[in-house]
Parts: sequence; C-alpha cells; structure tokens
Amino acid sequence: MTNDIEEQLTSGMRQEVAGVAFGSDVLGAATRRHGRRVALQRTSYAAGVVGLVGALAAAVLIGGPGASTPGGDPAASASDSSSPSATGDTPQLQLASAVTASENVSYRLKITTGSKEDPNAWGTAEGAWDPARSTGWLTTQNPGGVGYYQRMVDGTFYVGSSGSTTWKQEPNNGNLEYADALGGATGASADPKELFAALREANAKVTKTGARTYHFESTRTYDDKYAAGTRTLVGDVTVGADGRIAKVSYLATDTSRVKPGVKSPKAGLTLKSDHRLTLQLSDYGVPVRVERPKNVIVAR
Amino acid sequence: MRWKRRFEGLDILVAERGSSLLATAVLLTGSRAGGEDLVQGALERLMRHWHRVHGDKEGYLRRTLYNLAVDQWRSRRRRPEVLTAVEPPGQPDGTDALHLRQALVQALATLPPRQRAVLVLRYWEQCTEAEAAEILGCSIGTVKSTASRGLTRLREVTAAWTVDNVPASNGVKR
Repeated sequence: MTNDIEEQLTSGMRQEVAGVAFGSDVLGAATRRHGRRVALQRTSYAAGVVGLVGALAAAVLIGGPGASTPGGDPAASASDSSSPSATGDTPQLQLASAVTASENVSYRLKITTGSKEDPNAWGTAEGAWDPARSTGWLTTQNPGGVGYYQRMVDGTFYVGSSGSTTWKQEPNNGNLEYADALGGATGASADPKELFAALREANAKVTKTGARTYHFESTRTYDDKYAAGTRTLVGDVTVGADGRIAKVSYLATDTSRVKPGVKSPKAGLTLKSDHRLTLQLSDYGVPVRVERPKNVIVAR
Repeated sequence: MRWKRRFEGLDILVAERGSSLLATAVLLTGSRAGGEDLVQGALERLMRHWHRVHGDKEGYLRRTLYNLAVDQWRSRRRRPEVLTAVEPPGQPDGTDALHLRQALVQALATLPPRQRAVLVLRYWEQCTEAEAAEILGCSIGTVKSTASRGLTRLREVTAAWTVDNVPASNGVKR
C-alpha cells in the first residue's frame, strides 16, 4: 500500500497542476512591490523629495472651501485669489497662491523621469486624478514597452499590466502610487500633492524669472535612524493662465551616509543619487471617470 | 531598459520556467492564487538579492518557494488541522483512481507546511532525501521522519479506499 499511495500521490500532483499557468502578471507585480520597497527605503534614507509631507500636511487644504467641483470652471474658481500676478506679494507668496489654487481640484497629469544626463530615460506616466473622490488612473509606459496601469475608484486601488488579463486589488493609502509607477525612481516626489507641499516649503528660495515662471532651490538636511544627508532640489515652475500650476521640473540630488548598525545598505556607505522629473498638469476641473476593472484578484 | 539592465534575463526565466515554478507553488499552497502569491514573493526576494545570487537563479527561486512556504505558514496563527476521511464512491465506476488522487491532493493541502514541503519535494520534484534535506536546510533523518508522518496522515485520510481497485500503473515509478 505504501508504494501505491506514493504513486497515486505523484499522479495526483501531476493531475492537479497539469496546464497550470499564471492568471496575472506575477513578474510585473513583483517588480512593482520591489520598486515600492526601494522607494520606501529611499524615502527613509533621504526623507523623500519633499519629506515635508508631515510638516506641511496641515497646510494642505484638502476639501477646504477653495475646492472646486469636477467639471466646474477652473479659471473662475482660481481667479479670485490665486493669480500669481497679485501685486505686492513676494515670488514665494505668489507661488504659494498658485499652489493653493491647484489643490483639491481634478486634473490631468503627465510625468517624465530620467537621470541628470538623460531626462527621459526612465519612462513616462500619464493619468488623471480627482482628489475629492479619490478617483483616478495612471498609465506608465516603460522604455521596454511594458505598460503598468493603476486605477483608483472611490479609494479602492487596482493595478494591472499589459499582457495580463487580470487586475489586482491591493491595499493602499488612498493615493495613486507615483513612485511605484516609475520603478521607485522618484520616491514620492512625483505625487503632485507632495510637490505642492514642497513648493510651499518655507526655506525654498524662489525667484521670479518671467510673467508666470519661477525658479526654486531648496536644500534640506536630514538625520534619521538609517542615514544622515542632504537633499537638494533645483527646478522651475510655470503657472498657467488660470493661475494654477502647469508645469514643474526639477533636478533632485541626494548625498547621505548610512549609519552604523544598518545592515542594508552597508553601514558607512556614502550614497549619492539624482533624478530629473517633469510634471505637467492640465485640464483642471476635468471630470475624472474611471471604470472599476473586471476580473480582479484581491491581494492579501 | 533600466529594468532590463538591472534584472537581465529574469523575464526570460519567468517566461520559460514560470509554469513549472507555479506548479510547485500551487502544490505548496493548495491553490493557484496562493501559488501566484508565493511565486511573486520569491521573485521579490530574488530581486532584492539579485547581485548576490550568482549562477542558478531558477534554483534560488525554487529553494525560496519552499522556504517561504514553510516560513510564511509558520509565522501565521496555526490553523486547526482537521483531517476528514474522504469516502470513496459506493460503486466502482472506473473513476476511482481519479477520485483517490484528488482526495490525496486535497489531503496534502491540509498537512502542516513542512510535511507538505517534504512530500512535494519527494513526490513532485522527485528529489532524493539528501536533496530535499539540502533545500529545506535540515537533516536527512528529518526528511525521512517528516515524509513518513505525512504519508501516514494521507493514508489515514484515504483509509476507506480499496487500493486494489486502483490501477497503480498510472503512477510513475521513481
């Protein structure tokens, strides 16, 4: 009987998995999770582009009285208080005013990322986002031709990819995963909400370079449990005729030293990194409609 | 391109060997969804240690599948293990062998993870006891005793079956 049951078990296993094939893009999902882990590490080490999220979150007027209704007239809602041409304001206040007008209203976006030498090297992502409804989408086209798709429908997050017939519903904090979409290359810095926060940063040096263009420079030091270092952002902002942010481009450079006791990366290492990012925002107030995907696997 | 440079050859490995890895993972977890999650976890670990894994990346993935299967289950709250005997059909109808195999695979999914891993290594991968011990990082004696306990429990589950009715020739002799 012993041999029989062993043979039947072997046959049963073969029968069970005959023709089994992936129903979802497992490699893509692993890549995204890996990218997220890298992004989180970078955020921990470098405090993100803006690492300001905590410090400045209070200043972000989510759902505040200035919020616009999707489909409303963005120019109308921005014109009363947000024109960067308001006289008497410093460039920093003018920029802050444009940021305020840009928050809490839906928009289309396009993100391009790359290195210092090649600004387009790491791919592009396009999408739309309605912060009031936590609804939007983001499609990433990587240089290798693989597309990654994110959808958020009323705060429920789905990811998919080209070549896969299924989507995964994943736990999420209610925001599209910009760092994830771009392979972890940008940390959290591609998220307009966090970029807006960065532009409000008190120690950023802002100069006006044209009627609606600004240059900014910001240097932050940080010292957390993993590393101590310096993060520098140098970039330009264009404000549209509607008084809202139309384009942000910057070069971020980071230099840090890993603290004793940290296993990975090795303690004592000096880490240097840089990336370029361009964020274009348009069609403020656009209605954002996203279809809930079919054929969804719910991830634990 | 950046991804391709960083994990060169991984997409080809998954395309060519993914189904085989998934089959092992399905047997280790008891479901396709669980198997996909397990393969994904192994791929993430490979990406994390990419520069330290030289040579046989499929071997690394396969070992990781087993270790994750055992560790993940160990880290969860232990499920009550209820082994229910699977009754054979009343009248032999020519599909008894099929049913017995299904019953065995179902029973396999109820075994503790280490017993399951050992049985998958021995009877799916056709590993020797020494090879199974190396993959699981335990002694040959442990593999022998674990396999014996696993088979005993499978035998209990299918005790009602008359094995004489089942053609052994459908199995593959090792």
